[in-house]
Amino acid sequence: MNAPSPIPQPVRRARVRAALDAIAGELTALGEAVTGQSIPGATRDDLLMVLAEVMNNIVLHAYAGAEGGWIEIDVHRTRDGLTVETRDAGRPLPPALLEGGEAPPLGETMDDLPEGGFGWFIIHNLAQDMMYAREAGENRLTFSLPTA
Amino acid sequence: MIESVRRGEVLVLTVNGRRVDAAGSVAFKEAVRDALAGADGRVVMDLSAVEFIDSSGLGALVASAKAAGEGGLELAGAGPLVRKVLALTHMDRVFPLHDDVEAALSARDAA
Repeated sequence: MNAPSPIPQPVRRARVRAALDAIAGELTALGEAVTGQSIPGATRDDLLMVLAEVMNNIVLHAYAGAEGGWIEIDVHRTRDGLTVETRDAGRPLPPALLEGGEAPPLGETMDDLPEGGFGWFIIHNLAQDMMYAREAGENRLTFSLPTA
Repeated sequence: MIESVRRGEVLVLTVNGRRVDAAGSVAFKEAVRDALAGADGRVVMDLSAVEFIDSSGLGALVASAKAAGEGGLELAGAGPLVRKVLALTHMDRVFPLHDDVEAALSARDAA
């Protein structure tokens, strides 16, 4: 009777001001929205971790301080996990970032430790089926997060 | 944001916010630097209230560890999401991790 539907089920759709504090607020709201939708806690955590890096990058690099920026997110649940789409009207994403990344080396001493460069590594480590399109002046990034 | 208490030889910094993220990482680093003033031994940071960390927040922890100096920075009470970020980035090799502050205090040989 309650067999999983093959049709993706909407989980959350939101339009967010392109600012770091607005992203923090949306991620908190998203975490609450996802909790209780029988999505495993680890998948919810992956969703929040990847979306944080994607949206922070849009603010810091695609809009890079430009006023009036926006980000749309659209999350669906599928049989295998979650699918996510983000859209923004910032600068195009450099293609090299789509090719996966290495973790920055930790170095030899405490002073060598990197304080940045982890964002895309976290994204590629957790997200699958990543696709990027530039259409009509907008960036569209889609990816999936498995529940297994 | 950061509460600082000396427990014997150990300085315990308690993070009161639920998020250590890009929106708050600059303020976080400043608060830790203030809390560390004069610290010269072990420093344990209690993360049990922290539900979320992103790569900027991780960078703020690294900056905090550098500011802590020779005693380094030990982390206590990290939840599943924080632990996952630390493991993914191999930072779990850099920070000694304890289940909670009491475990950190009884681990005399840590650091």
